[in-house]
Amino acid sequence: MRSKDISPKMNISAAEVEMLDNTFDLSIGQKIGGLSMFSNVFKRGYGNAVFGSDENGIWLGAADFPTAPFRVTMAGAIYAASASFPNLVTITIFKQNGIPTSTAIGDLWFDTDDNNKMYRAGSVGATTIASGQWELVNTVGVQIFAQNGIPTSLNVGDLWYDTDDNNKVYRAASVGADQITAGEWVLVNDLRAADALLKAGSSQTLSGDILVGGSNVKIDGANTRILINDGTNNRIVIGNV
Amino acid sequence: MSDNDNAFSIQLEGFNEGFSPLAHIDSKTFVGNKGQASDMKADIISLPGFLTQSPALASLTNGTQAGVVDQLIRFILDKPTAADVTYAIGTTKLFKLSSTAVVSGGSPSWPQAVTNMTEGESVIRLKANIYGFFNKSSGGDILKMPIATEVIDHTWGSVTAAALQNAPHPSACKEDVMVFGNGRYLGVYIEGSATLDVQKLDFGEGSEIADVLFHSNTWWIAVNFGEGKRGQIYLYDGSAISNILSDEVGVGDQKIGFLYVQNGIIYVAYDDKSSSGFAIGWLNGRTIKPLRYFTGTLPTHRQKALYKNTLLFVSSPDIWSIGAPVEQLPVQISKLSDGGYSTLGALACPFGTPMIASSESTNFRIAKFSGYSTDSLWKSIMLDVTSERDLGKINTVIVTTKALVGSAKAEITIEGNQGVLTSNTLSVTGVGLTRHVFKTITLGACEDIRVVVSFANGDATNYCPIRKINLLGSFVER
Repeated sequence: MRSKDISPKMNISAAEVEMLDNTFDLSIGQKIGGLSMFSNVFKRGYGNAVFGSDENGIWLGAADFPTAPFRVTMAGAIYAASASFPNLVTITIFKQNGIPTSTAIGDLWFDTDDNNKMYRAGSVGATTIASGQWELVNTVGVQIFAQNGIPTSLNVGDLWYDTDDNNKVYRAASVGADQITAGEWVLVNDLRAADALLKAGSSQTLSGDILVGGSNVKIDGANTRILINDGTNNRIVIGNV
Repeated sequence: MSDNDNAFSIQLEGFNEGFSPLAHIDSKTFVGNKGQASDMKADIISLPGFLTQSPALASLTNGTQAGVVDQLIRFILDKPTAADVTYAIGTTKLFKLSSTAVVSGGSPSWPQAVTNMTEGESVIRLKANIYGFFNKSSGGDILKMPIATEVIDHTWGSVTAAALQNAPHPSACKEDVMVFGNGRYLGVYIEGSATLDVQKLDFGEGSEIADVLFHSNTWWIAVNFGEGKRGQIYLYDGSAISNILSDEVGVGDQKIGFLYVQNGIIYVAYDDKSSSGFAIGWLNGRTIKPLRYFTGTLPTHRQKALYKNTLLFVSSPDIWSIGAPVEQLPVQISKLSDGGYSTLGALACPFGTPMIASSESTNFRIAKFSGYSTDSLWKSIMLDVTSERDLGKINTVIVTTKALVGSAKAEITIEGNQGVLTSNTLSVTGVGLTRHVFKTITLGACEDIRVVVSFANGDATNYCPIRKINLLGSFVER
């Protein structure tokens, strides 16, 4: 008969069993491949070459969101150190005296010593005012002159108020008009003006004569008379003869 | 009833299992396995399965105050910078070590005094330079020493960036990045950009970094808060560029001593305030799973090393081991050897053999494992030998050893009734013997027994490896 074995017996696992990660939980600092998946951060990459996301948003190109050259906040605000969108046109707007060199089709040039005329570039590298180069965009307005002498019109449609002739209004029929004649400065004769004078209220004093129907009927205030003329002679005269 | 009806046997073997799980609570515990100890200072990792004497310590040449070690060496660089060359830092000096000696003299003359240093904290190699972190009477600094010239720049840290806090300064490096503890701050030096920031991260008022290490493309930072009332482990981006921590795990209401990584597993030494003694755990998922407990003191970042596939650490006044020599054996924790003098400093294993620095009053030494110590013993757990109304009486003890050489010797006694009774001494010795049978055991019937193996009269050259102790006894009616 064998003796009774009363040796202590405690089951102790081998190290490879005891130290088996059996938590079924992501380990602290969990990484899969090049991915770092921390409790509040996802990162892919190393150093500043990182794509990441955290409570701030997503970012690219830095270790952290705040210094990233590209980042988008949770609110959707985007910051990018630079951007290029090939399908969008970037134009340059020039404002100068001389003819600029266009950098893109659609560039605009305001000619500052020529009434700010606006030109549009029809090609890249346009350096002249010509078709396919700098093309005038017809947006020029009219020049309004208010002076005694006859001005030289700049545009068709320019207006001139003749200040020493009761502000008569003339319209330029051509560029460079410098005479009062057909095709140059043409009087703008608003016939309604006389009617307006007649319709003016009482106690108004009119200067000069009032002619009705050419010179056949004339109210001559300066000579205190009313004349009816047959074309040659006064037939009826009321007032001073 | 035949004699055998009352016979019992107890077989003690499998000594590689180290301390009983409750030895840190009760030095006379009944809980444990047949190879486990209630108390011990012995080597069970060098020859797993066998119980052998602790390694002895031999001072390095020049390794005492009679040589050039006139202060406690606080940190030893665990990785040689060249064949048979490493460095260590004391309280006021930087030392140069080989596997056998502390270098004395030369040009520049070793050891080298470090200006204003009062407390060396760590030494690290980063590319072609050695960096030393140290405290002064107020604040601290970082020295830089090119390995090629060994000329020290004593104020490199404060001149390059700023002075350090007066605090522990654990350090670690990877490629061209070096991180270090600086009190409540984590400091970072990136050699590629020559960028030193001694306050890269701030863990807040009342915090103190206990240790740092690099693992899995991530810096692991152990931080204690409120004078060790709470410990936390943080993860930090491997490039050390980020200003934001990556992840964290709480240790709890416990102070962290050190972190250590081996074979991809992070070990944590901490003060388990909920229990007696201290604990070594490992990071399992998002938790720290305690592995084993120990008594003594909480080791620091300056007191850890790898030895025979186990983690060696200081728990004053001794050197302990935790881990399994091979994966197929259980994890053990054991007190491996004495550390020298009463105050232990640095522990490292740069050349394969552990080195330990110690001091006591005006005595200082740095020593390494060499030969066998006679300051070594092993005590089994308490063994209940009662059966109903019967007590147990040991009649025969059979000890199995390797074939003994020279004066190899171990002495065995059996304590009875929780140490009240003690048997005669059984000497395990004899050249060539492997089986030692003792039939005269002067110990009466007991309630419990404990086997004590002492190497006090053992041999410093020839060890006495014990594989098995078989106790044969009988139940005696009382």
